[in-house]
Amino acid sequence: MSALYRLKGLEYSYLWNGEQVPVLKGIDLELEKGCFTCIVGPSGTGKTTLLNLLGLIDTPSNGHLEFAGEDVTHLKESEKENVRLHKVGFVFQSFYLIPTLTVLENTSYFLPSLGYNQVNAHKVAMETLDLLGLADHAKKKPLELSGGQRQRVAIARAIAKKPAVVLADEPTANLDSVTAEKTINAFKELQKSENTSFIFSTHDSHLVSFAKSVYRMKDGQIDKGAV
Amino acid sequence: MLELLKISWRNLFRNPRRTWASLCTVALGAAGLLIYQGFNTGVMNQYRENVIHGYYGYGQVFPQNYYGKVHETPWKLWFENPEEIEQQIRSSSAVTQVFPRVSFYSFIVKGGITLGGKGEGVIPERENTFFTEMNFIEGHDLQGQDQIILGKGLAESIDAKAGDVVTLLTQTVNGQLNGADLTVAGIFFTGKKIIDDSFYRVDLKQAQQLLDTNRVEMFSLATKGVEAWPQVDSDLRKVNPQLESVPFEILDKNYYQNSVDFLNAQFSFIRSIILVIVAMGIFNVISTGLLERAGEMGALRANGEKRSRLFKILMIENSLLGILGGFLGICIAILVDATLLRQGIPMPPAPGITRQFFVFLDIQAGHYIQALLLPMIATVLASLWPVRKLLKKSIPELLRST
Repeated sequence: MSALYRLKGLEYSYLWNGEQVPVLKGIDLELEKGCFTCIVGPSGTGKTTLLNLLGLIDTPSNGHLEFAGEDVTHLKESEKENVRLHKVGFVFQSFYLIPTLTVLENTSYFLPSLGYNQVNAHKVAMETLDLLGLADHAKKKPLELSGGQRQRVAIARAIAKKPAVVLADEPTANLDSVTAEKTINAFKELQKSENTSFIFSTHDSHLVSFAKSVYRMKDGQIDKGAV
Repeated sequence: MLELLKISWRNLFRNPRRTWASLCTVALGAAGLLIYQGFNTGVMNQYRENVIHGYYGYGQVFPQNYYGKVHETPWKLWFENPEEIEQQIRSSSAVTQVFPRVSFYSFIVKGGITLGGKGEGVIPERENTFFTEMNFIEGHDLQGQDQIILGKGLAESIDAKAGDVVTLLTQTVNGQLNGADLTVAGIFFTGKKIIDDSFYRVDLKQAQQLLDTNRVEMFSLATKGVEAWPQVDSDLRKVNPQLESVPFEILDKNYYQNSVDFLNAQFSFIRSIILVIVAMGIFNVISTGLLERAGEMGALRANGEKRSRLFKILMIENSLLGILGGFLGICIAILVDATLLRQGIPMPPAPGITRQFFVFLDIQAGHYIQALLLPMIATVLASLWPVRKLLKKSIPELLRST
């Protein structure tokens, strides 16, 4: 299987009070296409930062990042936007759906930018919603749905554009155990049916139990002994 | 574009209370602009009506090189063949009435009081159908050659009342003294102080006898409206290039045109203040609304949404807010005009006018467009800085903002 991500000596630091504060201290990692991976570890160890770098929403301070066979370490913002639009789906703990659009419109939001006309965009969005068991809620607004349903709409929005990878930052943190279970099942289904790669940053041991690979972070590094 | 418009339109209603607050701010600004501009135009209209129907007409026709210059013997330039000139003027289809006049200076004597005044010879049966703003406060208009009508201020100065006899003493065009005893038929009050304090009118034939001439100095004109004057001017140039036509706003530049310019300058200043207040009023609301959406913006950008597309959505959203507010403002202004201001606004005497008058709002098509566009521009400008500030943030910053 070919590599989805190749990280070599990846570092990230930020400036605070005139001093560089290191967050990631030389990450070496290779993730395969179709992976179902969890990144775990205590708060403040750099899980979200690593996810941000993988999703090209932040730029590493040092090191090398390869995504889908392409060096993406130093891409311009417009090039990153393009890669994110076509190849990356992001899901967040807080859903971030557009409350004034329907479930269907939220799901199809990015499709016109990918060249779909409205009819095709709605068709693809409906298929995705159907896959996640939300077809009956297509015309509802996000605020009419439960937390779990909203998270599944956020997932639908991320996967409707058929990205190479879905990055999810604490996707089950705001959900009760039953809803979290349903959401994890949705991820598993999609991984099987669409061969979509999933990378999670999570504290949820139940989600971790489904992962094919788990990386534990400690002090800005992958704790190799714990993998 | 339609997709962006749809998203922007829906976004307007994500927080109805906040949207209403913004709409009301913009609407009050737009209504204020419209009412103030309508009021300004109403004042100008009232003043224009006074000027046109009180004294000048829509304009006047003079012999070439006569108007605006000082002449030692002006009557030598007057029209020798007034009937022929009148026919030429009447050939313009935009002209509805023609009023030949002569003006002259004379002494006016009553009892022991002698005052200088400016007299005018007119054809009363023609003039009193058009010059309706003369406002006779006593007596009536001229009805014969042995009558005179006096401005209110002049009549008070010589203590003259309707029915009194006054003596006019003047010089003929040949330099000889001439005079006539005339009965005061009425006392008029145009509202223009300069006219009311020194003007009087006699029959044209009486004036020509006093001056010993058959000539006419100029023709005052009634036309199909203010906007018809360029046609009159063009027609007269064709029929007789020796005629010089002067519109009322030039004839009364000191008062009418200067007042219009003054009111316009004042309006421009007030308009700027209103727009700044609108912009400042909604700036805070827009900033707060955007801040609440930072996480959503971050999530959209993380999934590939372009910064430029979000900028367009937000700009369209604020433009719509401005247009809707402007529209609401227009409705408010129309409602206020039709109810509270229906009877007009009582005004004290304006500069150069000595009587009170009522102003009715005159809201024109251009004013509506301005009331829609200017608040929209103010809204868009007020949103530019917070939108740019938000979109300049990195995606992790946006996600952390919530």
